[in-house]
Amino acid sequence: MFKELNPLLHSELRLAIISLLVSIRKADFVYIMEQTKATGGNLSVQVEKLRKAGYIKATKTFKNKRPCTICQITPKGIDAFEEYVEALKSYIQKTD
Amino acid sequence: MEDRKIKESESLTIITEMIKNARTNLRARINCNILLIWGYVTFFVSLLVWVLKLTDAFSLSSLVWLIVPLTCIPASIWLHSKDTTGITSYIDQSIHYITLLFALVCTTVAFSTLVVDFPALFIELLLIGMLIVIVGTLIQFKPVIWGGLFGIIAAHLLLFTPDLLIQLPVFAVTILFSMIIPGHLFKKSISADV
Repeated sequence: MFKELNPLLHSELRLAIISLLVSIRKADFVYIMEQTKATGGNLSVQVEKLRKAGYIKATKTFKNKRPCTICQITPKGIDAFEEYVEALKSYIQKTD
Repeated sequence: MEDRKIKESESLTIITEMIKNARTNLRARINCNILLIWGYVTFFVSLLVWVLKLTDAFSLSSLVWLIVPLTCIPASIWLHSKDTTGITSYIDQSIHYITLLFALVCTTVAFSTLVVDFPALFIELLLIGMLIVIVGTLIQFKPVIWGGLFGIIAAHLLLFTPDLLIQLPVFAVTILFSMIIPGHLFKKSISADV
């Protein structure tokens, strides 16, 4: 039986953001943009969706007098990612 | 990347790719430079204190040790401010807090010698050695681990040499082998794109 995949994470960009933040503790917006090769506008929308779901924390700050957004995964985000990977396993095992 | 639904097989590719991208230790060079600054300053200050004690040129030569925190702390803050990587990994965070804890303990130990007489250089070297072993384990670089272990062993040797005029050069040489040389080896091992 297939487990249901979390629709919020089952999107190319949102999954990439969460996977990146699971691996590193904190990352700024520019770094996430470089790694995911997403546009600034699109990334902002997806970050906001993840923030509203409580999966990430976005802190606006200044770095060298320039505005900077630091994103950090929350324990809820880590749980959601782990559940997503667990659900994904059921699909992979089925295709094996 | 876009906001689009993906196939299950694609999910695995995205997760793997992102974890692989994040694996690069982008702050390695900054952390390495901080280690080298502390190493070099401690090395030269310990030699300076030794020369001052040897020549009896300055009666409060122990105060010269203050040069270490007074130069290294601002230098470390300045190097951190130069950080343009925009990320903080779990390892970076752990190294930061462990180093901060050890620096605080080393400073309190140094100030305690003003009140109580005890083998301060032995304790300082033991703490430095332990810190380097922990950092070496976190960054998974063997020469740093060996350097730290060398520091721990050398610290015990200081217990058998109660003369401060012998302890000080031993302390300086140990810093050379446990901080400066492993620091340079680590710097050399960092790839050019970091």
